[in-house]
Amino acid sequence: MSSALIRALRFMRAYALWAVLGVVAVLASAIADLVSPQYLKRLIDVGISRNQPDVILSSSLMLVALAAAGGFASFLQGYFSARASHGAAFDMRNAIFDKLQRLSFAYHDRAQTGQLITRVTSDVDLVREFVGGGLVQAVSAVLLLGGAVTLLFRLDTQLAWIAILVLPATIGVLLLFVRRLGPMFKQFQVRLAALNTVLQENVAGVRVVRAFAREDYELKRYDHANVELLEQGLSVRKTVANAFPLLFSIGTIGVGLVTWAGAVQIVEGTLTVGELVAFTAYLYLLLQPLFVLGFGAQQIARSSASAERLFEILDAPEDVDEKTDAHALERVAGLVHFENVHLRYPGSPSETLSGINLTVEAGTTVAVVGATGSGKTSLVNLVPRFYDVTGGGVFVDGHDVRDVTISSLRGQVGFVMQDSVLFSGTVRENIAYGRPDATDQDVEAAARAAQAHEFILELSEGYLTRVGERGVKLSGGQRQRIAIARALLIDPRILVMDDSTSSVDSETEAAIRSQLDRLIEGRTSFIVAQRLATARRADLVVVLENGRIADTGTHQELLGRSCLYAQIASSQLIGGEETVAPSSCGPAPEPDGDR
Amino acid sequence: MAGPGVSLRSIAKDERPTSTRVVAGRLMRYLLPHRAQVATGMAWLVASSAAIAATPALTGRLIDLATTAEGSGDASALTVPALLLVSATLVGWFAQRMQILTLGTAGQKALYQVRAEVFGKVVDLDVGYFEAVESGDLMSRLINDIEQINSFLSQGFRRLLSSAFSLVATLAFMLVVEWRLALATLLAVPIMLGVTRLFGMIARRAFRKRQEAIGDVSATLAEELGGIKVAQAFNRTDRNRSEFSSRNAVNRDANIGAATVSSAFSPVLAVISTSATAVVAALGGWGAAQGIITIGVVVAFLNYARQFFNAVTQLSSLYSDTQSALAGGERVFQLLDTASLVADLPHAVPAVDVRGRLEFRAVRFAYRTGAEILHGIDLTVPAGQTVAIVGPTGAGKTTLVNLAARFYDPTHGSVLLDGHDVRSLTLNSLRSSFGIVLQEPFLFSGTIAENIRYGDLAASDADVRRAAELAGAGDFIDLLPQGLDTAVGERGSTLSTGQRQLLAFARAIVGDPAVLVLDEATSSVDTRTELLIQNGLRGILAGRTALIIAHRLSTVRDAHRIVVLEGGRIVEQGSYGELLAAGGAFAALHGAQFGD
Repeated sequence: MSSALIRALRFMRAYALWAVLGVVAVLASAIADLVSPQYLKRLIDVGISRNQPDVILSSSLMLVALAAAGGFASFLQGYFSARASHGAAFDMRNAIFDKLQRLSFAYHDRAQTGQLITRVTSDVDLVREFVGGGLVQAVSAVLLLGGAVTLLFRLDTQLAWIAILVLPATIGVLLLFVRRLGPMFKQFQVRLAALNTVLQENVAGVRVVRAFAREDYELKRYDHANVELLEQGLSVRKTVANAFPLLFSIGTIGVGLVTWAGAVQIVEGTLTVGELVAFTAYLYLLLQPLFVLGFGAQQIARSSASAERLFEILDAPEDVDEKTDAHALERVAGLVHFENVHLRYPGSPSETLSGINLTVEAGTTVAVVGATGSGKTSLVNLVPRFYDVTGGGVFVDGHDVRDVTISSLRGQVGFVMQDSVLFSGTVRENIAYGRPDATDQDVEAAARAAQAHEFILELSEGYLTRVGERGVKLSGGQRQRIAIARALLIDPRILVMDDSTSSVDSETEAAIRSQLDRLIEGRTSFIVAQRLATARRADLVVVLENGRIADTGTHQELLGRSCLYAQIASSQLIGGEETVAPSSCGPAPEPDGDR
Repeated sequence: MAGPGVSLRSIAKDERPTSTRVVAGRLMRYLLPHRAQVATGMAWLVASSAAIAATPALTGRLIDLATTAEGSGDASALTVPALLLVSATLVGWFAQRMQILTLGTAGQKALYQVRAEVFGKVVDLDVGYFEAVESGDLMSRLINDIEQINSFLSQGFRRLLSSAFSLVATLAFMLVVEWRLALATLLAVPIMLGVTRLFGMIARRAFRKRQEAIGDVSATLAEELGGIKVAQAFNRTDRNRSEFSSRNAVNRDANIGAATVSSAFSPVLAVISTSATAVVAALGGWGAAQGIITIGVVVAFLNYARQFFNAVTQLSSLYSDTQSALAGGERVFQLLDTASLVADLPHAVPAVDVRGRLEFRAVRFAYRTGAEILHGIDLTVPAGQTVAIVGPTGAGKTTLVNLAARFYDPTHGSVLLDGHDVRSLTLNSLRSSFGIVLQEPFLFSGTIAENIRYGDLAASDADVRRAAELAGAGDFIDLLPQGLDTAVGERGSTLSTGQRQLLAFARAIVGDPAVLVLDEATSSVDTRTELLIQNGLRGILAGRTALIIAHRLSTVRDAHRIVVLEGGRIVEQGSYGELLAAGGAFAALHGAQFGD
C-alpha cells in the first residue's frame, strides 16, 4: 500500500466508529455463513441418511433463518460502510476545496480546471472506495480467512491440508497479477487522459480548428492517441484473461481434489457425506475472502494513484500564506510603496519584475504603461498580494503586505481584472459579490458610477436578471462594467483597474473615463491602460520595459524626455497633442501612415 | 450466498426503456466487423459454461459411488469420475481465459470505433453547436458516457452472455439430473425478478438524487475555480467554502441514501435464494429418504442451486448496469445523429486561385436560439482591399466576419467569395484561403512553434520565424529560454493575453492566406507593439483582402474603407477622412476616443 493511501486513512479517523461497526457487521454475517454448513451437514447426515423428516424441516428452517440474519448483517455492513466512507469523502472534498481557495494565483495560473474537478469528484471517489469500503472488506476478509481455516482443520485435518494448498497458489497468482496489472492500469489512465486532452482541446478550441480547416490533422492526432489507448486496453485484457480465470480455477480445482479425497475417505468410512458437503462449503468460504482480497489489491493499485493526486493538491505549498502573527490592517490612507521588488514566477527561468522602486502617494492616480509582457499586470497584482515578491517588499501605509491579514488587505483593494468573470446569479448578486449585505441604493450607485445602470435596466428583470452560464449572455463590455461596479461597491481605498476597458467600445470607454475622476476621487488608483488618454490625467505615469521601470513622471514630463513614452504616445496619435519625440531618440517606428 | 459484484449502481438512469432495444442493437453493430472473434468467443463461452455446469453432476456421481462403496475400502471406482471432475475445471479455466481474451479484444476494438466516430462528429459539427451547449457539460458527458459504453462492451456484454449461458447450461443439467427438483428451484425465479423490479423503482429515485447532487458539486466547483481569482480578490473564500460544504453535504446524504438501498438488494436476493435452496434440500431429503433419488443427486442439487442463483443474481445486477450503459449509448448516439448545420453540399467544389473578392448580399442572420443579429447587410470587399468594421459592442461585427469563413450560414441572403456562393465551395478549401485571428486567442498545448505552424503545417522553421517577427512576437519569444520551442499550456496561461494574441496573429499569417480576418486581434496588445505590427501588416496586406474589426480607431486608419455597424445594420461607410468629415456615427466614435 502506498504511503499516500496510508495518509488518506486519516480522513477515516472521524468515522472510525462507523468503520468498526461495519467490521462487526461483516463478522456477524460471516458467523451466519460459517454456522450454516453445520446445519447442511445435519440435514444430510441426520435428516436424510437416517430419514428423520423433522430434522430435515428444522435444519432447512435454520438455514433460511441464518441466511436472513446474515443478510440483515450484510445490509447493516453496507449502511455502516456508507456512513464511514461518504463521511470521509465529504471531509476530503471540503479539505481540497479549502486548499484550492487558499492557493495563490501562481498555483491557479498553471492548474487546469477540468483536472481539478476530476480530482474532487472521481479521484476522491476512488480513494473513498478503498478507504471506506475496501478497508472494511479487507479487514473482514482476513478475519474470515482465519475463521474458515480454523474450522476446516477442526472438521478434517487431512482434507484441510489439501485445501490449504490452494492458499499459496492463489496468493502467488494474486501478487503476480497485482504487480503486473497496477502499472498497466496506470499507463492506461495516462493514455486515456492524453486522448481526452485532444477531445478537450477540440471542444474548447473549436473555432481555431475550423478557422484553419485543421479537421484532418486533428483526426490524425486523435487516432494516434486512440490507437495507443486500444493497444494498452488490449494488453490489460490479456493480463486479466490470464489472471482471473486462473485465480478462480485454482479454487475449483482445490474443491475438486478435496471432493475426490473426501469421497475416498467416505469409502474408507472415516467421513460422512454431510461432513464432505460441509467441508466444501467451508472451502468456498475460504476462497471468497481470497477473491475479495484480490479485488482489493487491484483497487489499491487504482486508489493509490488517486490518493497521490489528492495529496498533490493538499501538499501544494501555500506561497501566499498568512503569518501566524499577522495583524488586521486598519483603514488605510492608501500610500503604496514598492521597495526593490523582484518577482519570478515559479517554473519561470527569468524575472518578470526586477528592482522596482516606486512610491504612490495616498489618493493619487498612477498609470502603468508599457509593452505587452513588460510586467504591468504582475506589478499591480502585488498590491493585494495575489503573488508574493521574490525579493524586496510591497508596503501599504508602511505595512509590509506580508505582515497583515489577507482579508483586511484585500478588503481595501478594489480590483478590476482583465477578464471579467461573472458568477451565475443575478446582476445584483454579482455587483454585491464583495459585500453581500449592501443595500439596493449602494448597488445602484456603484452600477451608475460604472456606467452599467442604464443597460442593466434594459435587461428583462433589471438588477434581478440572471447572468452567468445559465443566464443571459452579456457582451464583453457589459461584463466589464459589472466588474467595475463590483470593485467600486466595496468602497476600496485602493482601486486597481487592469486594462479593464480593452473590450469596451470607445463610446462606452469615453463615458467610463469621464466618470473616472469621480470613481477615483480620494482613492489611490492604479490604472493599467494601453491608451494614453487615461495616462494623460494621471498624477504619475510609470513606464515599464522588460520588468524594469524605464521612467516615471507626468505625461508631459515623459513626452519631453522618454523615447519609449513618446513612441507610445505617437502610436496613438492623441488628438491635437504635440508628440514630437525628444531629439535624442533613435528612429521611432513610423507613427503615421496617412494616405 | 449472493453472487459477487451485485450492484444497483445505475439501475436508474434510463427513463425510456422503450428505446433500449434500439440502442442495444446499434451498439451491437459495432461488434459486427469483429463477428469472427465474437463467434469464437461465444463458442468458448459455451464450453466454459458447460464445463462448470458439469462439475456438480460429477461431484454427485462421485458421492453416490462413494456411498455405495461406503466402508468397502475400495476407492478404485472413484478414479475415473474424479479425474473427469478435475479435467472439467481445467477445461473451464482454459475456455474462460480464451473467452475473456477473444470477446474482450472485440469489445476494445469496437470501443475504438465508437471513440473514433464520436471524435469525427466533434470535428464535423458546426461552431454554433458548441455555443448552444456548455462545453464543460459536453466534455463530462462525452467522457462519462463513453466510459459507460466501455464497461458494457468490454465487460457487461461478456458477463451478460456468460451468466445467460451458465443459467441455461445449469438448468439443462438440472433438468437431466432430476427434473422435479429443477422445477422446484425455478419457483424462486419469479419472486427474484419481482424483487429486482421493485428495487429498480426505489433505486431509480435514490440514484437520480445522487446524480443530481454530484452534478451540483461539479458545477459549483467549475464555477468557483473559474472565478477563483475574483473570489480571492473580494475576500469571498469563507463564504464560498460554506456554500460548497452545504452542497457537499447534500451529496454525502444522497450517496448514503443510495448506498442504503443498494445494500439491501443483494441480501434480500440472498435470502430468497437460500430459502429456495432450503426447499430443494428439504424436498430432496424427503425424496432420498423415500428412496426416490440418491443422496448424490441431493448434494449435486445443492451445488446447482448455488450456481443457478448466482447466475440469476448476476443477471439481475447486470440488468441495471446494462441499462445505464445503454443510457450512455443513447446520449452518444444523439450526438452522432446531430447533423452539422454547416457542411459540404453534395456538389461543392474546391475554391481555386482565390483572389479574395468578398460580397455580402442582403445577409440576415439569427443564432439558433435568439433574435436576429444582422438585418440585411450588403457589402462588397474588392480583392486586395482592406475593410475595417467598427461599431459599438454587440453591433454584429464578429458575426459578420464569421459568416465569411462559413462558421455559420446566413438565415437569408448569401455570402460570395470571388463570385461563388461560399456554400458551393468545399469548407476545407474555403477556410484554407482565410487567415483568421479570433477574439479569444486559444492556444493548443505544445510549443510556440507548433502553435504558429498550426496555420500552415508545411511551414518551414524560417517561415515560422518570419511570421512571428511580422506579428511582433519575435522580441518576447527571444527572451524565452527555449525561444520558439517553449511549451505553452492548454490555454497558454504562462503567457499574457497580449502575447497570446501575437501568437494567434502569427498563426494566421504564416499560411499566406488570400483573405485575412482580424477580429480584435490586438486589443490587449500595447499600442507601440501594435504600431510595429501595423508597419509589418502593411506589407502583409498589400494585395490581400482583409476584414479588420477594432475598437481602437487608430488601428483602422489605413483601411481602404471603414464600415460602421450599429444594431446589425451598416449605418455609414467610407474612408477615414470621408467619415470624419461627414460628422456622423464614426465621427462621434472618434470624438469619444480621442477627444476629451
